[in-house]
Amino acid sequence: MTLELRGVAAGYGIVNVIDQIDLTVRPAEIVTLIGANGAGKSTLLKAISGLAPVRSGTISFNGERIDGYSTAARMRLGIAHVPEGRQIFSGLTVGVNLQLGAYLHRGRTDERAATLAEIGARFPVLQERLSTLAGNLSGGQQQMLAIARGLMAEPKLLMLDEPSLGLAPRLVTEIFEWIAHLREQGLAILLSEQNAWLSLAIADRGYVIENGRVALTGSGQDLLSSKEVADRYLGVGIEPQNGPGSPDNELAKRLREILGSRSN
Amino acid sequence: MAEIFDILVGGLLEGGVFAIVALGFSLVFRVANVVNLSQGAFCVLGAMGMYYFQTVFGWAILPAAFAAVVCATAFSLLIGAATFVPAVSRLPPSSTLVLTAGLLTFFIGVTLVVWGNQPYALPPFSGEAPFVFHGMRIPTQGVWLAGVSSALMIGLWLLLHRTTAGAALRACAENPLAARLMGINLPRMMLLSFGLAAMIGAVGGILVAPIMSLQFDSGQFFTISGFIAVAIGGMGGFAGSIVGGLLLGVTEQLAAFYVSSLFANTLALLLLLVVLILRPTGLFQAGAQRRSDVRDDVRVHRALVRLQGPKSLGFAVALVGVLVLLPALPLPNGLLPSLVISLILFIAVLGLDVLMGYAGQVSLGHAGFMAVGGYAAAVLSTSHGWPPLLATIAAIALSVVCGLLLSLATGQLRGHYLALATLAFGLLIDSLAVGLVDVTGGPSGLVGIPAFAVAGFAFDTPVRMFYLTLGLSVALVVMLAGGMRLGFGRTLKAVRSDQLAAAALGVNVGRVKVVAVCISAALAALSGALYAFNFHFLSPEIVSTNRSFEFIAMLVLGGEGTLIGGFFGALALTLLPTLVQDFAVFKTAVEGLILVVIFLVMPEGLFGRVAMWLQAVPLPGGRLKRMGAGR
Ligand SMILES: Nc1ncnc2c1ncn2[C@@H]1O[C@H](COP(=O)(O)OP(=O)(O)OP(=O)(O)O)[C@@H](O)[C@H]1O
Ligand SMILES: [Mg+2]
Repeated sequence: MTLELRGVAAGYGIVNVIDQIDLTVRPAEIVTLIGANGAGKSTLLKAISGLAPVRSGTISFNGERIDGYSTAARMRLGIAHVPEGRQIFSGLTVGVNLQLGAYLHRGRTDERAATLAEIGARFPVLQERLSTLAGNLSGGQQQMLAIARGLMAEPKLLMLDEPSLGLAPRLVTEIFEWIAHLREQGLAILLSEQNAWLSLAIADRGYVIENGRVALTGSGQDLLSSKEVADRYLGVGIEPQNGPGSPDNELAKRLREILGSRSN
Repeated sequence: MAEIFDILVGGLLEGGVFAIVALGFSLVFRVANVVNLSQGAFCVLGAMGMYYFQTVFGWAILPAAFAAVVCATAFSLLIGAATFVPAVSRLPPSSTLVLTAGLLTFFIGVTLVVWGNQPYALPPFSGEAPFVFHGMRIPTQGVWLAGVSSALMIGLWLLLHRTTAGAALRACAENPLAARLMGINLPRMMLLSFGLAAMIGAVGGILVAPIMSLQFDSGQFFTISGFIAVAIGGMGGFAGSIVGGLLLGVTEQLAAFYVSSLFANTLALLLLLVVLILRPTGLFQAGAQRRSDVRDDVRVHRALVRLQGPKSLGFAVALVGVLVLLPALPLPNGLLPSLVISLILFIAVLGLDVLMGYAGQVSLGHAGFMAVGGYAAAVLSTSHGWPPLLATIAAIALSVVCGLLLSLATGQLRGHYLALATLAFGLLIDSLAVGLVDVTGGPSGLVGIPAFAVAGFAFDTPVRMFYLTLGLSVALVVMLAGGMRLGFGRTLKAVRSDQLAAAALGVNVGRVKVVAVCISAALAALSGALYAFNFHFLSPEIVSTNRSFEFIAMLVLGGEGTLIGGFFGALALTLLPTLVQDFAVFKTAVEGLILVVIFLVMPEGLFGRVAMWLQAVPLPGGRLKRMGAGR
């Protein structure tokens, strides 16, 4: 599976929010989008999942052009989109939320049960609370539920929009660990993040989006060490924070350990 | 004791059907976030189908009932796919609400054409002999009703809670955007809920037809009763719908027995208004509270089209010129009186335009104010001998007071709940007009109302009435157009396009809305008074909720937010039945259809179209103004 965007423009109403986007995601690859608020990261993900109409350019998935397809059709091909702000079904139980994640596979009961068991094993917090209303979960648990629900569709490409938003540092680490694990299993991941430091640390490649266009692209490490990115997205005063023993650096180190086995 | 038992049984029976309709309301509301006012019509469609299969074709009960339900459901799916589903994805919820009112009118009209206006009753399924239990007599049809509606409720619950399709339906209600990302086909789910609700309604209609004789407009009765039930019980909650329905049925029977059958509705409506004001979400909180509506982002708002500058002046002068000269021309018989009616109704539509077109607030009870004004003027000038002018002024004042009270009481309500509160208000006035026999003459109406007169000059011929109403209309349009150009109009526009932003900019949104309601109430009252003086007669039918729907149809047809547009709407809908022979029977169906079609294909209305054409004609200064408008 390979996702290819060529010269994509998309937006809402009559305005294009993103324009001339070229982007590729290959199998078992983590690709990170970083950019300021309002740069168009979420819109880019929406264009891929079909929530925002594509005005020009092409999107293809495994060589098949999908920009004219309905959202459901794209999901069926193996794209899952965990949108910004969790968007779980808060009035339904955790179990039903997960069940709906596999809505497209509703005919295949056995497989669905197997996926549910697998995901339950990976997210024991959710497994214990299958009959709780999703709205009664904590913020972090809701985020896990959103990701788990996306995984229930057994996607080939998982798009995560700000999965770390509003989470405690410990949970952020957990979530990034999961993301890394998912890649191990051959899943391609397209990640939009404000937490540029962490998301670039685990990424194979990254794209910097500015005003709806790709401003910079390269490997995660290259971007992390690039001065432009450091100035603009890693924030002022990042140096002392990244000194040995700083929380961010510790996180990054742990993550690199996790990833280490396959990135060398 | 036996008496109260009979009343309770009667109430529960009737309430059972209300509960079934309420269930349909809740289902659609949960999935599409829209109150589908056409719901009650499916009861009548089901019963009508049953009548044909059973009585005309001579089928047995079960196959006939099955065929009738299938036909009604199939019909609803067709209509739903063509109108409801596109409307939900394209229009703001308030417009969809009005569109379903149009659908209701359309169904009533179709039933009238097919069925005629006589009442029909079906034979009870298990014979006439009641079922006797410990000396208490229960009609066998009641057992059927109770059994089938329980089965329906259980079936619905199982569907929603035990199947994937049901989970998908609930997901759409919870969060449409996320539902799309799960690969759920949203339009199909909406259609599914619409069809399911119609099916439930058809079953209810078939069950109740042996107890209650039905006629073409019973659909409105069911919609209204079901709506009261669901609003009392809590929109979107199934248990609440059932309890609300039964409660309503019993209340109505008790009121009918101990007070007067004419007041059966009044008590329930009062109860409803109190519930809406105190607990808008109903007595029994629905399980899931709906989150903010994400579809609003992508919805194309209705565009308002207005003429500006010299072109609008030129257009207005030409129009008034033609109208002034009309009586001098050899007109076909009856045209002038029709013009008078159009102008009288236009005055009310003008008021509605201030409210809907400018302040962006839907009113489904506008005729209520017309009733207040009409009856006040009529009663004061007949029973109390007031001069018509004074009576009219007093009537307007009374109506404004009503408007003030209503808008203060409903100040906290938004969107749907506000629209529904106005519907409840209109219905309440309706039921009072019917029930207060001593004051209003009850269902048969008030007669002997004098002609309008000022200082001894009586407007007692069509020509005089024509010039009176024309003069008033022109004066009102000029005044309002002036007002809209000043600060007030701008404030209204701000409120219409974005209430929150307007409030943030320091606009007192509450007060602006109250003023808009008062203006609209005053104009509706004036229209009601003129109507009474013109016909020397007033009856509840003239100022019923149907009239409220008609006003909306006129406004939407003419063009919202244009002031003058309503005139063309009123003219078209008044003249059509008189111009086309044998059209009268189709009038209702066509009115409903017009409302639906206009909403879907020509949201700018007739005058909006004219304005667009005029705009195409190059003329310096003639500028067309387009507004992207909110609700
Ligand atoms: N539904 C919408 N309708 C209209 N405009 C929108 C909509 N959603 C986003 N926009 C606009 O598109 C632009 C890009 O938004 P987008 O959500 O893609 O940004 P983002 O890069 O994800 O920002 P953030 O980091 O804050 O999430 C913004 O200017 C926003 O105002
Ligand atoms: Mg975003």
